[in-house]
Amino acid sequence: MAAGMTAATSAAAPDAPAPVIQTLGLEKAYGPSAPVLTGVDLSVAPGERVALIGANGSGKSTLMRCLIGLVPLTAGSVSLFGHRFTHLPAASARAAMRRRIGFVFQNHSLVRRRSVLSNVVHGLLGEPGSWRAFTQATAPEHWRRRAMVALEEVGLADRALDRADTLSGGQQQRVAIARALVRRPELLIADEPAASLDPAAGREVMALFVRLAEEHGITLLFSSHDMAHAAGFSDRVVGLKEGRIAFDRPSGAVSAEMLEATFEGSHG
Amino acid sequence: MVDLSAPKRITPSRLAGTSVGGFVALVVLGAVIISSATEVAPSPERLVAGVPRMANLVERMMPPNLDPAFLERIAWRILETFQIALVGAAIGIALSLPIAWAAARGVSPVGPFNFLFKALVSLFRTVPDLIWALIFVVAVGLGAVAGTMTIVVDTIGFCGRFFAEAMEDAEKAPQDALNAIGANRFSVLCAAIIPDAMPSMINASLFALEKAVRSSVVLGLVGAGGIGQELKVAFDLFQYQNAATIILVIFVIVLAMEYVTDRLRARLQ
Repeated sequence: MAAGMTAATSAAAPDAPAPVIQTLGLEKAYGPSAPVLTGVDLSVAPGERVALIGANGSGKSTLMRCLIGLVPLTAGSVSLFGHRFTHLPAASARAAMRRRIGFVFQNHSLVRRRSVLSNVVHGLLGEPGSWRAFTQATAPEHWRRRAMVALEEVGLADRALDRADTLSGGQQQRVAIARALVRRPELLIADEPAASLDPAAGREVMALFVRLAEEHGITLLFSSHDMAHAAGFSDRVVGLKEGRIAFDRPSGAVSAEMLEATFEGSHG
Repeated sequence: MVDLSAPKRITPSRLAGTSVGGFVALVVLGAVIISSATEVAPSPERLVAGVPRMANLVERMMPPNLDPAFLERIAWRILETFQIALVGAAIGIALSLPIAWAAARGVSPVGPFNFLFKALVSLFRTVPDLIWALIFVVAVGLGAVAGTMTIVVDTIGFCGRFFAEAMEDAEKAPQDALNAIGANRFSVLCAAIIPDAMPSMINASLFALEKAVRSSVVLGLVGAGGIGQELKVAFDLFQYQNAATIILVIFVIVLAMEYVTDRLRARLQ
């Protein structure tokens, strides 16, 4: 059952800012099979850019879904913005929490038959009065303006009224970023945002993420199985192997041996 | 040269993939069809005997009644038939949306209780429209209102099922994305599921409209308004020339409706 949120007990020094994300002994298993995540302790400070790397099936996507309460935890706890939950956050707390988070999926996940602008306006669906965000045509003018600003930031304002499925993969991912940014989140979580793009579009999308996160002071957690992206666009790299944290190092201090050990035995 | 004495295993069995149970079921089904045909299918003698009577009926139908006063009365009945079909289909399609949402697996706001709504839609669909018409004639009296209510129920039975299936098949990734944003179930329905399911839903609605026009012309046979009522009176009073006109008009209407909905479907695809 959903557990309510309580104030987190932080072990950090009194003058250190509370972590935006903190997981303690996080475990996730689907049924009686081997757990997907085991004993994951992860802390992300405000403004930090953290890359999660690991082979396919290492538990990156599951960890991100656990963080935002899309899937329930089996054991352990998650603290977001200083509020702790176990299993799943309560529905009202979950809605409040998600309003402070932007989430970008690997496969852009846009509503294909809607316009680019409508898809960005959808980013405001968690807000009060959000029934008006079903399409850009019914959205209040100030929401439409915010969506246009977000589209300008990702360089797609001129495609606002085009159908989402007429855009290239890279452009669709930029729309997904605009949708995540439209309500100015404090934390941006991106699950392999460049995985389905060609190398050039992938680098472009990652650079855009980092630039916008810096400009707006957003904490960034993204997953990747591309070490060049992880090292080039983060302050810290966390390696995940078979559901456990294999290493947690500043991005400049990740050695080839660490990476080899993390990806060893994977076919992904 | 091919060695015909090669091991038997290189030629697969002619009945591969046919189980004994399946074969027995097929034989039983064939036996049931043949024994039923001897009971209810027309014998060649009866068919031969029926030809002169049919010819006589067609002869008495000719020429169709084109009297202006009669045509005017038929025109008003046609209008009523269209009203029954259009209003019934429109209300039915509108009501199908929430019912289909409640019935759709994995999308329904009532979770595992979606089967109750599925059962309701099945009930509406499996009971024939003439039976619904009889029920509504008893409930609200003779006339067009009973016809409209019949079309509403019939449309829910049809659209409820296809809308629910379209919602179940809608792409999951946008729904997950909106869930992650904090959107509630209704928002996910309106912003992600309906836009994705819309082509299938429009298609089903056009078929429902076509079906409603076809149904509405026969509902009058049991007193539920529309052109069917005139057809019944014509046959009851042996006014076969009137009946011929009405049958021709029904044919033209159904054909025109199918043409229009086919064109609309083609444009939407």
